[in-house]
Order: sequence, then C-alpha cells, then structure tokens
Amino acid sequence: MLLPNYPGSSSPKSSDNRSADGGLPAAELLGFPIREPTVGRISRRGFLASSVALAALATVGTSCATDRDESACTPASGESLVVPDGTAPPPADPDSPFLRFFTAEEARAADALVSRLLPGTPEDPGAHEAGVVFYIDHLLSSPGGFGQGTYRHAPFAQAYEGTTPPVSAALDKQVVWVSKADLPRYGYQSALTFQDIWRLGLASLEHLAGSGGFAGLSASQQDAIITQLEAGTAPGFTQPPAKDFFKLVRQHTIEGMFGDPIYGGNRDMAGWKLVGYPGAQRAYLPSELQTGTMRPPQSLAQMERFHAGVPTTGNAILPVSGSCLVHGLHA
Amino acid sequence: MITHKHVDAVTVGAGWTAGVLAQKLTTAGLTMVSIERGPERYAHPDYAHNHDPIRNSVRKKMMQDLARESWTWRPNPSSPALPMRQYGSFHPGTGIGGSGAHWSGMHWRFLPSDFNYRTHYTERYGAGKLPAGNRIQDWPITYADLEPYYTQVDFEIGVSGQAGNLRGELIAGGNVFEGPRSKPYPLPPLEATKPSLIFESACKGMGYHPFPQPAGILSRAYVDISGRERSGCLYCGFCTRYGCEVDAKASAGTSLIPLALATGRYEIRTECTATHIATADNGLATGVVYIDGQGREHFQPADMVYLTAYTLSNVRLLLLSRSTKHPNGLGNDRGLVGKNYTYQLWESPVTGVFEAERMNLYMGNTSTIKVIYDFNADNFDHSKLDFVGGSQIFSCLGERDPVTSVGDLPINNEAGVAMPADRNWGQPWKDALRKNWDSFVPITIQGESLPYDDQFFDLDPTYTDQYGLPLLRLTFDWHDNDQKLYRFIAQRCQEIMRTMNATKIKVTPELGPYDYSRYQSTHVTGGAIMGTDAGNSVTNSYGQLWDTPNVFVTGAAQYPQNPGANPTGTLLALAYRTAEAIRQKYLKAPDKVIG
Repeated sequence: MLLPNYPGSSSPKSSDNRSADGGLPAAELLGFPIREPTVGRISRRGFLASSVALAALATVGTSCATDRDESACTPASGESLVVPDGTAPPPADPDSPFLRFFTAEEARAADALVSRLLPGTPEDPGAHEAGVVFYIDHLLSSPGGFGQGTYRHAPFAQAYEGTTPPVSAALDKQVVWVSKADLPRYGYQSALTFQDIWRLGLASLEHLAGSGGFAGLSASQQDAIITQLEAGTAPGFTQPPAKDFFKLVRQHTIEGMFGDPIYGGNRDMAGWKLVGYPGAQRAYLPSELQTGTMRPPQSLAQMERFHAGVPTTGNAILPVSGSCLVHGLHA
Repeated sequence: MITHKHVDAVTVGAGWTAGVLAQKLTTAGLTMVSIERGPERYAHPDYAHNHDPIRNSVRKKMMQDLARESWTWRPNPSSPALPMRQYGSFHPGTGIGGSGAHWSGMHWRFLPSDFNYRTHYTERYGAGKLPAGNRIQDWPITYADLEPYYTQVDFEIGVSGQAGNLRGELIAGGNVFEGPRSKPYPLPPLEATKPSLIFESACKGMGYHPFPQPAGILSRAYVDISGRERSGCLYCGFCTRYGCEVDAKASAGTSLIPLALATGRYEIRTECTATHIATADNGLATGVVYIDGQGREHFQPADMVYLTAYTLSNVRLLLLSRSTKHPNGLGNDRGLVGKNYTYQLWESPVTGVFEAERMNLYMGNTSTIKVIYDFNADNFDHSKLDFVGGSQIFSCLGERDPVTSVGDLPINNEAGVAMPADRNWGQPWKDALRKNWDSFVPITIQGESLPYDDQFFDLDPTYTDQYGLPLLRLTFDWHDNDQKLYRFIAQRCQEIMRTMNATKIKVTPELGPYDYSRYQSTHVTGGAIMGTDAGNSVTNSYGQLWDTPNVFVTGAAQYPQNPGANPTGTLLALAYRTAEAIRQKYLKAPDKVIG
C-alpha cells in the first residue's frame, strides 16, 4: 500500500478575527498573567530549506513516487551543499587548537587537573592525550556552559546546617532555604553557571596550589588536593563549594574522555580503546551479542551515511524501506 | 488572538495517544488538529546517524527544554519546593512522538490483579494490610475489558515477545503470571544480551520463571498497520533517549500519524505551546489556546478536546484552565486533580562484576533481557510480610555507552566488599575501567508505586514557565511500604546474583530517600485518575472528564496507582478503547458522559 503525496496542511486564516463560539476567556479569568515571550523562533521547516543534514535527502516540497525508491525524492531546488562524510581530512591541527573560553593559564590548570582523574602516557593515553581540556573548553563556550536547556529563574537555594532554617527564611524572597542534608536530592540548584563553577573553581585551585600553580605540583601533591576537593575539605573554596567543583570537573572529564571525538575530546578514540567500545556502529548481528565484535572503534564522522531505501555494504544491515513521504508541511 | 477554522477535535501534544486518536478518528471522517510544542521529526531524516550519547543522553536533545518550562519538587508538604534546573529523575520528551519516540520500547500488559488492587488485597489479606494514608483504589475496568485492545495494539504497531498465557493455557518460556491473551505476539522476542542468559539460567535453577522482555521493537521485518514494511531491530545500542533510525522501534510517527495525515483531515502545528483549555459559559470546553513559535496567541476551536500530552503536562493544563464554571481548573470541580500521583521503583540493588569477562553490553537495548515476575504484584504470598506489592526483576540491559556508564563501575568503598578500585578517579580506576567496563552486570528492579494523601501534584506558587504561568509542583517521597518492599526484593536479587557466580558483588540493601536529581524512570502516573464516579476520580474509564464531558484525558495520568511495569503498553490499549468509544458511543450523544 502506497501512501499518497501528503497534501499541504491548511494555513491559519490570520485575517479571521472573529470570536469563537462560547467566547474566549480573557486573561484575567485565568488568574494568571500571560507574558509576551521575548524571543521569536524560526520554524524548523523554514530553516531546513537552507540547511541540510545529509546531501541526498528530500526536503520540504518534494514529491516521492514510492516509499522504496530513494532517487524519487528530489531536492526542491538545485542546492548542492557539501557536508563532511568522513572522507575529508580533519579540519585543524589537534596539537594547537584555539581556546574558546579558557585563558591559557586556566587551560593549563584544567588540563593538569583532569589528567589526575584519568592519568596517561603517550603509550597509554589519558585525559591529557585525549584532549579532554578542549572538549571542556568548547562546552564552556556555549551559554552558561550548560550544553542543554537549563532552568535559570530565581529564587535560588541556599543550604543551612542543622534542622532549623535561619530566622530570616520566612522573609527571604530571593532565597529558598533548604537543609544541607536535603539539598543534594534536588540536583543542581546553584546560581552559578557551569562557566562560573569552572572559572571560580580554577581560581580557588590555583590559589590553593601556590606559586607555580596546580600544574607545577607533583602528582602526589595534586592527588592530595583532589582528595580534599572530593571530600569538600579543600580550604578556600566557598564559591563554588569544593564538592560541587569536583563533581562537575569529573563529569566533564568523563564526557571529554568518552564522548564522540567530533566534540573535541577522546582524540584518536583513546577513551573508547581504553574500555573496548566500538563507538557509533549502525548494527550488530545477533551472534555478536554473544561472541563480541572485532570491528575497530568508529566515530560519528566515519559512520556510513544512511540513505533511505538503499542497503549499505559491509556489516550493516539496512531496511529496504524509506520514510521520506512522511514529511508534511505545516502552517 | 488568531482564531482558526473549527475542527471536530483538537489535541494537546502529538505523541503516542494523539497518534492513536488521530488515526482512528480521522479515518472515520473527523477533522483533527494537534498542538505540539516541539518540532516536527520522523525517523527520516531526523534520527539518521543519531548514534551520539553526548547529544542524546548528556544534552537531552529529544527532551523538553527546561529553560522554557520545568517542574518543581518537594519531598513532603512541609519542605521547600525547587525546580528541576537540569534533568534528573525523569525525561519527558518533546516533538512529534513525544517521549514515545525516545522510549525504551519495553511493552507490557498490566496483570489482572493490578486492575482490582484494593479488592484483591482486601479479600486476600484484609484491609489492614494496606499501608496507612494510602489512596489505593480499583480501576473501573478489568484486564478482560482491556484485553482485546492490548491485542489490537500488538498487531497494529508490532510488538515482539513470547506468550505465557494463551487463552488460559500456560506456556513455559513466556510470562506464566500474565493475564490470558487471545492471540500470541505477532513477532518472536528480541535477542538477549550475554549476561541475560546467565541470569535466565540462574533463575530457572532457582525455580523461577524467566521470560524474554516484550518490546514495541520489531524483532524482524514487519508490515504494520500503515502497510509499510519496517525493519527489524539492528541492536545498534542507541535506543533509549534516541529516535530509531530505521523505525524498528514503534512510535506514533512510525505508523499512526502518517496514516492520519494521509486522510487530509489531520494537521499538526509544531512549535506551538498550549496554555489553556477554553470553556463556554455552560462549562463545556470550546477549544485550545496556544502560543506559536513566533509568540503569537491562537485559538483552535473544536467540539472535543483531548489532553494527549505527557502526564505532567496534562495535569498542569487542567489546573491552569480556570474559568467561572471551573474556578479550580478543568476536571477539578471536586478537588481531585493532582491526587494519586505515583511513580516507579527503579533501582539496581545488586551489581556483579564478572572480572575481565567481556559481556558486549554496548550492543542491544533495554529490551534485550530476561525478566522474572515471580516477585511482582501479589504473585507471591504476602501473609508473613510487612508490605504489599512487588516488583519485576531483570538483567542485564544492553545499550551501554561509556559516557553514561563509567560512573556505575562498582568501586571499593561501596558496601564493604572488596571491589576493583577504591575511588572513582585516578590510575586504579582507569585500570579498573580497562578491565571491567564491559564486565559489570546489574540486576534491576521495576516495582510498584502506591498513592498516598501526601503525594500529589499542584501548581507551584513561586516558579513559572517562560510565559509566566505557574510550574507544576510535585510532592513525593518514598514511603515505608517502598522501603520494606525494596529491602525484600534486594535480598532476592542478591540470591540470584550469587547463583550467577559473579567474582565480586556490590549490594545496596536499603532504598533511602527519593532523589529527584538521579534518573530513575519516566513513568510518572496519576493526577487525573479514572474511576467509577466523580466522587473518586477525575475521569471515567474512557478518560472523559466527569465535569466537562467533551474533554478526554489520555495516558498514564489516568492510573489510580502504578503497577510494577512500564506504562506505555496499557495507555495505548486505553487510547484504542477510548477512540472506539468516541466513534461508537460519544458521537451519538455528544457532550454527555458515556454510559
């Protein structure tokens, strides 16, 4: 059964301003104010016409004669955008990438820090060899350094020791007082962004390390400080608290060591080779679930492009069914 | 305010149940619009080459943007509520398909005893057995009422599994505790991970009844309701939190939505956020008010409104939709919206390390496992136990990726048992990862969650979304019954792991307090529960609001309490049943509660 060409959906009649039957509730009936949003957003479909994820795919306004013949999905216009498909050389010299957030001194301290979490040598790469500091630097150059949508409205939480909140708690409008024991259950609640936590945390670290900085200390001296960070006993850490700093540093080290190399870390797939992870693979045979696989690790950059309706070569087993026809138009 | 042409029905959300209602009703001649806050997306091209844990698991690209809207939580009514600023306990989705696009695919029928929970326990053990402060109640329908729809879903979307009870005949190798099914699964079970087979063998030796996990993931090529042949699972290892590149994993977008769109009577408006349900002077709903991606306000008038969004969004919209006739929100004339919020007990009480034995756990998915139901629900005798309810037990999920799993390698200072490393950083940890990252095997449980008076949803007085509307507030913590249930099940898991002969075993014998910051499951249920009358529920068994009969709620918001199983299979069957009732009964007597 072939699904017919999907018709364009009806556009809203923006000139039709009649009231709906039954009346529309005015904002005041709701009891809540409706605030005008401040940021307009581009519809994805409009954006898609000018950016293409994969060169051979259909975009808005195409027609597809069958659901199995990928060649029938013709692009709407004559654009031929060149996208990386794994055959182009790497874009930059990995030994001297530009920093986007850290200063050179911060990067040196950060690199020394993450190198103790995952130590390495050229023969047995760790966080330094894998370029973890560059993953973190790139992440921190995004808004807040969060990498994901983060709820940032006040009031923010403050912790109190013991069982009784401070006397001022009832009057505080900009602070929500939570017992120190309970606060971890709520997750990340700091008013500090991830950029702040790194920048301020590295400053406290450098201050603690003394002249010569953290990078100038011996490995055992560095480990002693990290142990204090983990325990929350490192002196001089108020903003951010030592434990918060350690937790974020460790989380980002893991991401930078084991995330796909396209994000700037895990150079030469060092992290994946360490644990024996083959990376972005399209398919495994049922027998491989039991016996394992011999295939080498592969980054997203090397992953074979998937074209609807076209089986791939090699070990990948692709369906002979496309779904280009399910894309529709919207108002 | 931009007012649109009237349609027969408008839905909030374009996920699983919107897809069901759209396909069933537009093919019967109705016109329908879905208001979807997220983007348009389908397997092709949106999920192509999405094998990227940083993007999907760390940065939550398929999920709701918390910067725009989140939820607050407090453990009890006397504690402060704070917003989820970054993802923790659950991962509601956004976009076409919703959470049902990045779901695990674990697909269940609830047990017959799940449907008459209160009656079952009272008859067997006495009413005093149920924990203090509970709000447990029977569903208004039975497993037998829902069975035909469960079966219809199996065949229309494609579900893989092994039947355990076929019309009353028990079949070894399937779930012998399940309710009788009228037909076997349309597809055989998925493959299983290597340690799942060790788990299976241990369970069998102990006299338990392991069976393969049923899944809304095709185990082989299958022609589903849309007439399109979809690929079987490739075991790629990028499943939960990802869209399926080849549509082996079922979702509203694989089959149902395209069929509805093909009628020409269905439209999805993406990047549009519903803000409330409008009502007339007589209290009936008139349509949905929403804000589009450019910030303009719209009104979509309709005869029927379906709240087909995620549980949290459905409940929140009911509470936000105040009017003269419904001053406390839609469905809330008796103050029951928000009650019976329940969650899920999802923990790994035991982890075994099979030192230096590679288990290939980066392949497969959450459903390439074996499960036992011997300790779920009331499948075991509770007479001498100090808790009610139970949990399924299973091992060992696939789709392990290093970014999200290296932190789970057991280390030495946990539970006092000598483990491979003594801290989760440094050279010893790196060496332990090298040796054992693919060798540690959790046993995981998925247990029931019971409703209590001090567990509920309401509107937060302090925090708002990007439009200035109040966030939904969750009040929830584990109760005594959960702690005792967990303790018992953890002991059963320990016994199984010892039989599996791991070199080292880490045990977490106690549950502890609920941690909102740690992902557990996206199985948030209740808040608009179904029941026999308006005195004990917000909706009838069809999800129809007692106080506003032209509004229907779908999804897990309807569950009076949450059994020990993933919710999606049952909410699909309920949506199928609701669609049929709308076609055959409601449309003959509109604006009235279906008898």
